[in-house]
Amino acid sequence: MRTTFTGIEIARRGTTAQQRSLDTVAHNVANANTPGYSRQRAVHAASNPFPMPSLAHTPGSGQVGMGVQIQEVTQMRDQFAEMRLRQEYHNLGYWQSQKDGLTQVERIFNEPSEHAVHNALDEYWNAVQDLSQDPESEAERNVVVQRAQVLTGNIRHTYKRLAGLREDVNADAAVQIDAINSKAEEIANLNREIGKIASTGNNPNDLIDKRTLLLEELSEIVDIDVHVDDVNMAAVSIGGMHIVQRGDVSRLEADNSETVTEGVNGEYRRQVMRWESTGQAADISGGRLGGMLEFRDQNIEEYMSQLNTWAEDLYYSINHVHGQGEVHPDGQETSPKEFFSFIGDEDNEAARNIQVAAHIAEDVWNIRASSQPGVEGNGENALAMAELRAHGLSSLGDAEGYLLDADGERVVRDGELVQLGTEAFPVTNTDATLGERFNAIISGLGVRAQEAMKMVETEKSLVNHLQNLKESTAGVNLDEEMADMIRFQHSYNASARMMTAMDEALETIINRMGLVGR
Amino acid sequence: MRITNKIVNNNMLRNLNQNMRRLDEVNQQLASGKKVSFPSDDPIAAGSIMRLRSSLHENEQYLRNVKQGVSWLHATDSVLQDATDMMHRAREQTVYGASGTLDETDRKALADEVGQLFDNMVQLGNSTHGGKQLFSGQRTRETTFEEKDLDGVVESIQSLNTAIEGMEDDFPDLSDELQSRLEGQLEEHGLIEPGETAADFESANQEADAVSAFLADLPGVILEARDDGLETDERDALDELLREQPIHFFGYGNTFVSYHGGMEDNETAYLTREIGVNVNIPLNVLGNDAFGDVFEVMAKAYHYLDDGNAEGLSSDVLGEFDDAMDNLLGYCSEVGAKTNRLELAEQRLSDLKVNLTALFSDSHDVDVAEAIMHLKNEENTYRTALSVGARIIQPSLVDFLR
Repeated sequence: MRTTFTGIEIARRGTTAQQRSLDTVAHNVANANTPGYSRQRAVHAASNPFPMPSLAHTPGSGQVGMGVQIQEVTQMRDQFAEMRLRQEYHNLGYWQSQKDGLTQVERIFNEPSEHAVHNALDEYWNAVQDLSQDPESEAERNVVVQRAQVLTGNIRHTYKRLAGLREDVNADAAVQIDAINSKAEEIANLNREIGKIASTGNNPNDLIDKRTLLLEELSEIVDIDVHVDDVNMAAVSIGGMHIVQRGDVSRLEADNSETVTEGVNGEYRRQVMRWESTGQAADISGGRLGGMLEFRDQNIEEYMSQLNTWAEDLYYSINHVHGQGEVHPDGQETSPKEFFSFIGDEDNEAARNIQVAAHIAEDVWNIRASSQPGVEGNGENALAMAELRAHGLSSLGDAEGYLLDADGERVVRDGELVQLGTEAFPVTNTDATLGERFNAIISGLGVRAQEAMKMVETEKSLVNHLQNLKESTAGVNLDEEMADMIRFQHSYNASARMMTAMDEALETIINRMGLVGR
Repeated sequence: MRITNKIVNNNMLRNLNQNMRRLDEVNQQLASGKKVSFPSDDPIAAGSIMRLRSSLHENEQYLRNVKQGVSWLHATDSVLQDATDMMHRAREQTVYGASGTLDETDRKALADEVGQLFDNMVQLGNSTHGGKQLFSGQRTRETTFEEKDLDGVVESIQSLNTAIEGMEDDFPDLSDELQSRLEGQLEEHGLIEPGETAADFESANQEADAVSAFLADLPGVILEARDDGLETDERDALDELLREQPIHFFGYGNTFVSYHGGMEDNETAYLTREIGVNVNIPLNVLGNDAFGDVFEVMAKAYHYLDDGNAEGLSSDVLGEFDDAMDNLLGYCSEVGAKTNRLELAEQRLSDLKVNLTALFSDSHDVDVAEAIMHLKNEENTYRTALSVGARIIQPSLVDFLR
């Protein structure tokens, strides 16, 4: 025996379910462009059926369906694509940092242009050549000094800008640490709320979307591992240490309290990333921050070292040849034999300190252009200097491979003789010319910057592909939503119509029946 | 794959972005005129641009060296030509004087003219080019030849003697050796009495001829010491002495000419120019090589004309004139050959410059036609992408629902 109002109840459940579905459609459409949003579906399921109670009831003769109900509102997500996406994001971040950095280094070297070191070197050679032909001319001597000053000025400027770039990246890295910390806090907060809701058996869909988005952003900054537990809370770790675990955050800090001198050019206050709680150094790799740190500690240092080595070559090879010559009769015979000197005699950072020696800059007659003392028209030593352009550095050291200074004495550094081709002085006698060696630095830089650019493009297209893959599951298709909307609208209408039918039936029973004889 | 509106949108934006970036690249190339602005644009091209620019600079420098060299050689050549002409003139006078039919006044007049030519020759020997002495070797600021009278010569020899004595402290052996050689020579030519020292040599009562003869022998005598196994530092000291003290003399009448230029013996002779990698050529002609014989023969001609020694003129002097002239012409042809060589080098360097410039421009400059073609191409792609995008983005089911 069915109850009187069963039909109306079924129709009501129908309208409610369709309405809920329509709401979900509205929610989807509204969030079609929300970053990180995954489309939702209200899952319809038939309500528990009702066995018909009757005296003559035989089990199995059928149950009465009691309409529809919304079982849950689920998200359509592709978790695999999300994981892959996080991995590619940290690669993209890494290469983006490398690209940005290397591009800046290219700008700093400013090659191949007519306003940079290589061209200044060419012009210096030419000036020395001119001097070799007119050693008695004060004008030519002045030009040599000017050109040499432009050259050393260019080297120093380039080097200082590289050091400046290192400081900039250093400061920027600290900003990234702040970003990591604030994102970690947000993720922990979301974790707490998600945990609360998930433990009641509900789906905290929109909160999960928010968290997924934050994880993506975080993975672009640094390489992270994510593990989601049974109550849907995410544990995030960097280099094997948890930064977020459930609702707790372990903060990172950037510490630049100590001045670094080991393994770097010169000294500076380097930001070291530490765990705030333990003071341990954080193992940061990948991502924008990882790329930045690697760029700071390896790439910039490498280019600074290369420039230093090159400036040392320039210093020693020119000085060595210059020292074998004689001053003009108008110069001071007893003047030092160096052509280049180091500012403040600091020879540990050649590129920062190289300059035209004071006795030469102040009195151009002290340029040792002659191979004979007291002969004003002899430019043979200037010619020997100019020939370094084409001859390579065969005169840097003596027969046993020890570096020689302008006086032809073996160079002593920190109490030890400097041997060519060792870490102390990487160049050997048989190496290429100064110009070629500088070319090699620039070509190497170009290749590396080009690689970084290509990698950024590759990573971008990979990320794009994965985003599309993720989007193909999670994204909102408006056509689809509209079709659903029509579907649910019609179902709603039909349910309402059902109610009218039931209403009419009741009308018949209640108002029209039993009127006979009235 | 399920496509959503966002995917369509993103893809379109990405493609537009890429198109625009390529458009920008071409635009940059066209606007700057450079194919490679930064090494990463094309590392290999960047390397060759830098290398080629170096080569261009180098080539430019060699070309300048060669041009200056050619102009130096032209100057040398014209001076030597003038000297040859003057020698012809002096020889004519000598031939005229050798006929023996002239009276004394005429001969003296001829002698005076040869004397004039001698003075002119000294002027020629002191020619400069761009502020440098042409015939002084590396002593470019020293006047090559200096005319002196007897007193001046004695002074020079005294100063040489003083300089030799000055070496006593550092090089006693060398000093003694040189002093004894100097005094031996003075004594041999009867300029000092046996037992006298060089310091006693004075200008009074000296025969110009004897002094001339002494002076002609002096350099050889001093330089002989150099070949007698000197230590390196002694040799340097001797070289310095030779640089400081002019010891090559030529003279006529009571006029003597001293040579102050560089000498091969102490490696101050040659002005070399680099006209290619490792190609150094010495350009200058040394004054005492080219003019030494000339002065000697002209002085001799002057003396014989003055003395009326017609036989000596025809037997010795004319022959010596020919030898000196041959010598001078030899230098002329040497200068001509060097000029040729430099002009060939100039030609080669100019050709190389054209080649290098073409190569440089090839890797450095944008091929405008090609770049504009690319630009148009990218522009088309961009426009197409825009119009297609506009069409795809527009409609959705929403538009068709009432």
